[in-house]
Amino acid sequence: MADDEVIQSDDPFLTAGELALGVLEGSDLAAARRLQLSDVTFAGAVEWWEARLGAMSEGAQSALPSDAVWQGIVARIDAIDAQRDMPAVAAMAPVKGRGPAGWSIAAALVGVSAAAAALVLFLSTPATSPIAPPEIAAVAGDQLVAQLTDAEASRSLASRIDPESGQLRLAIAGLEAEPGKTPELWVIPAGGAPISLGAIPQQGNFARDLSVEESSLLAAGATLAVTFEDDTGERHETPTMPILLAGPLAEV
Amino acid sequence: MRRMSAAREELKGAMAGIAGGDRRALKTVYRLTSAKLFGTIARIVPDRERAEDVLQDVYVKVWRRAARFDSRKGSPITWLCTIARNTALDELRRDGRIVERAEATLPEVEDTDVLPADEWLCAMEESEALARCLKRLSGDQRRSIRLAFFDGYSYSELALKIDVPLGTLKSWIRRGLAGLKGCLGG
Repeated sequence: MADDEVIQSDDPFLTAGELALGVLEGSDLAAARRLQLSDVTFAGAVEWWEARLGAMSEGAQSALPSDAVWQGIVARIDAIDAQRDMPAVAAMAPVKGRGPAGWSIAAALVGVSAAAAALVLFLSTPATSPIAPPEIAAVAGDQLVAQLTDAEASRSLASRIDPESGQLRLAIAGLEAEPGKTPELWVIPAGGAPISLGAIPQQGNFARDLSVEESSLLAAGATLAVTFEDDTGERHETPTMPILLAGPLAEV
Repeated sequence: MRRMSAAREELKGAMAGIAGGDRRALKTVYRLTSAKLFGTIARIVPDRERAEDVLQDVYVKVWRRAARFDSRKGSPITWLCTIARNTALDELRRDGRIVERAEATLPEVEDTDVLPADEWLCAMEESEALARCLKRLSGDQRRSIRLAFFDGYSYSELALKIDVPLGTLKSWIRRGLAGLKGCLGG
């Protein structure tokens, strides 16, 4: 029957349409989001659908927001611009008219800064390492690496980004999350707010292709961080405290 | 027609301005698009305060991301509405919502044809192509796709809302998308 064929066919192009339309949920949504990150063709199909379906937006009713919205936007981009030249990590706190996130992120990022500083000290005295961080074999070229370690909690993450191939490689140890939670990787551009790079495994080696957008964020001077988040299959807008691991990206 | 294309040109120029860090350009984009984006968001996130927070997030994202806007891939208003819609959907998924059960029939979402021509900000051709292709779908397919789009319903929410079995609804939407794909040349 034709109906069954359409329902059961797993034509990725239609799945991309479902993702763009926003109807997917649960594990289907998680699987589609993962595919969007790892498969350039699928990501292109999602963009195609967004552009086509987006033409419907013109049919939406207009509604007038209050003046406070524009004032809030100005305040927030003032903060972004003021912090652009400032490497201080506190700069990442978004200023928001409402909502609880601002101060807690600022506080947490002071923590990130401290963690990053501690990491530098730690890395400069490698002989004292109580646990062996997972290693990724060094390869010549303009690669970016970050070694994130929390010796006390026996957690570590080694990452390498190869700008040439646009690939992210991770070696992960000890990120055991409670049921329903997953480790999530964040990039914090110098002077910017944390941006999710999605869920990562709790243990072992992991590699995936980076989107152009992601590659542009992963530059020397940016910070990588890991938090535990609800395993919703989606990237979160803001990290949940505490930050488990954090460290700067450096060129090798 | 002339006014329509003037607004489009103004928007296109302002998007380039934002990419260059021009605040006045952001104000221009806000003036031209905030009512439309707020309408899009408010339909998905009906609580006014939450919807205004989402709107604020959207323009901060636009300020950050304008350099990544590629006019070859679509019109600025489509790009902006996609950011608004996705941000509203993320907000909705974070807190969830309660879907009130079952309206007896699928309500038809306002037809885009009723919009005055001088309010159009996106390429008329894109919208016309989509409208033409949507009209070729069956009523159930078209209405369920439009409801999912405008109200941000997931499969199970929409099935509950219009009281049809989940499999039937998935069939309507997947068949509708397949029809659009063929019609729009995907």
